[in-house]
Amino acid sequence: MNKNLSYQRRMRLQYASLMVPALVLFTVGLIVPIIMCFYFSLFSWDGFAAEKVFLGLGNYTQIVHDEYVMGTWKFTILFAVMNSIIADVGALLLAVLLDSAIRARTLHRTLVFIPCLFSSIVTGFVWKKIYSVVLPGIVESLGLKIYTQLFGSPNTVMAGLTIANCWQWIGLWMMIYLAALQSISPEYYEAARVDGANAVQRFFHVTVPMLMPAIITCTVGLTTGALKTYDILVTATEGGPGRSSNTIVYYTFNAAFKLKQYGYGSAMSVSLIIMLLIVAVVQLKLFSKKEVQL
Amino acid sequence: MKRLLTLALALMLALTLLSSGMAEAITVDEPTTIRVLWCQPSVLSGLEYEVEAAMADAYPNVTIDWELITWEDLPSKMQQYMQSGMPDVVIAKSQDANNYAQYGVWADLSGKSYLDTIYTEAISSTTIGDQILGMPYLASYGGVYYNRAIFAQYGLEPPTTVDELKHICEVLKENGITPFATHFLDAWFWGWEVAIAVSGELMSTSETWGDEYKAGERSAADEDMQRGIDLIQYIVDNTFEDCFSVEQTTCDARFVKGEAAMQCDMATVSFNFMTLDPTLDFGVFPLPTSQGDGCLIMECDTTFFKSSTTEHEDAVDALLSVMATTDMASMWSQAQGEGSLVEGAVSFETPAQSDIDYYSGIGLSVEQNKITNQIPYNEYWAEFTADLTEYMNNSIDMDTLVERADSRRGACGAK
Repeated sequence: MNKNLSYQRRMRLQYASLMVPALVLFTVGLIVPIIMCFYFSLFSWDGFAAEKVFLGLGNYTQIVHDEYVMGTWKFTILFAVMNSIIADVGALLLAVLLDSAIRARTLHRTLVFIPCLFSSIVTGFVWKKIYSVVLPGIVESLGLKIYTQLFGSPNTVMAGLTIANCWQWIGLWMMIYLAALQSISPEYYEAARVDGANAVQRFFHVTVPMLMPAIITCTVGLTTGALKTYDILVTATEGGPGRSSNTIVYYTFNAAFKLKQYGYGSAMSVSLIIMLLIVAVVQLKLFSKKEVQL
Repeated sequence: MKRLLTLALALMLALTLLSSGMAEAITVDEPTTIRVLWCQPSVLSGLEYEVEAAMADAYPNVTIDWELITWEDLPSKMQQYMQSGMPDVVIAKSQDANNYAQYGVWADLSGKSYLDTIYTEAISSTTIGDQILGMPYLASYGGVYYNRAIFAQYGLEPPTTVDELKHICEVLKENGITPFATHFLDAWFWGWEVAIAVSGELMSTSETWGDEYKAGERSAADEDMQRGIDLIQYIVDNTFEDCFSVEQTTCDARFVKGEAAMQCDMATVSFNFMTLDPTLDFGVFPLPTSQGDGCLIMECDTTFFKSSTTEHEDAVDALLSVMATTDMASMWSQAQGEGSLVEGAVSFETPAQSDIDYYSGIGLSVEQNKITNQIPYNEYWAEFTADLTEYMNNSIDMDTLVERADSRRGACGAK
């Protein structure tokens, strides 16, 4: 008995030791920066000077009173909702389409996936040129009067960014759905066919329930990713026109590095972490309930 | 014997006197690598390879480790490097002398022989107190670039007052020409345009407007600020309808094709104009103010800074001495399409050069730092521009715009 216990203890220690390198990287790369971020958020600091002024929770109360924060959160949440819905549904439909026996489906899958290989910085730059130079040129040569300069107006900038963002990422989520679709046994579809279900009914009553784990993964991933949008804005709109495409991450970066309010930027980062955690937990709870029901 | 000793002493004295008058020789005996952080402008020219070739000839022991970024990334890079270790050399804008002087990151270059070749007037752009914190190298002149042929066709002369500018715009519109080409989709350019249009009026009122603003003696509600806002609104009303959707490429093409007669921009557009149409004849005039004292905006936007904590003083001095040669300065000037601040260098010239020389000669050229040292771009003008955009889109009213602007006075004033 004692020999068994000491053997089990030794095995547990061995397993734990195998996790140490990953734990060290995780701690140094993620946990320590978060703790440091929280530490800096308690100070008024420009990020350069040696002196910091302790404010306690002063930066956090400033967030509540900051008139720009509400606007940036509104844009961020709307952007996240729109992108999640469009990209999620689009990726699912594309996956179903490209899972079927269509011609050149490998080529189509490749073409849809390629944009995810680009950096978001490049995507923003490319779509800025498309909206401001390429599309206006095409429209003008066709003699049409269609407004295509979506980044130029506060009323259309959301749509322009959504198109660019979905174009870039839809392929990635489509691949996740494709992989999940492969795991659905054809017998379920056969049984549904025998029961008289048409294609649409088979999609909603067989495909969707069986894909629920993938849907959870993609939805959570899309939502949290969209809430953290930053790099595409750097080259696409720089948060403009005015502040109409300012996301919370872009605002945080500007506060910390351009306005030299490092402490305030750190406080906003901490509040963003908390919000993202809440969103992820709520989504997981909602979807896991749905998964059980289905 | 006595005669020989006397002769030897005299010789030694002469040599000592001679050497004290000579520029100190720079030697780098050990292999040394220096880190250079370069805020490279939009024109990618491969100049770093030319620098390396020149250094290999003059100082073969010195190698350079380049890091190229955009100027917009400089603040975050500076924050990072001030914590982790500054590069030996930073190539940025002259306004960064003031931006970072308070943190003691720049070395004092006073007395360095390579500064002897830099135009004395330019040195003031990097002089903070009694210290020379950078070597200004290239300068550009911003103003209103105009199509000389169109102006001549309609008998127009460069304006000096806002009323004259408005008359020119009316004449152009009557003849189917859009007065201004603009590219406000580029947020940095929109901010720059707002800054020079508004600050022109502010500087007409007082050369220390920013300091007075910080002290609470001035407000964004004052008449001079409002005149500046009216001027920028006038430009927006007299440019293409899609001005907020257009970026630099399209804007430059419109000007070159003669669809617009004027383009208020930085001097880098000269390079673009000459690339698009080498035969285009264009000039430049200062954006007018209500007082008639508008100035061309001179920006020393390539300036060499030496880190105050560098361990390779001699190697950095070696690099700066190579940069200060007329050959290297001429090459940089031609490649970047900007004026050289090194005496004797062959400076990049555009058709607008005669206008630049004229306005500089009569004192109608102001160094941009005079404005940005008092009212900084990132902390004030960029935010003011965003508020102004919201005002023009009717998202906020003038009272809110003023209130927000005044809430940022703390960021203003000389540091």
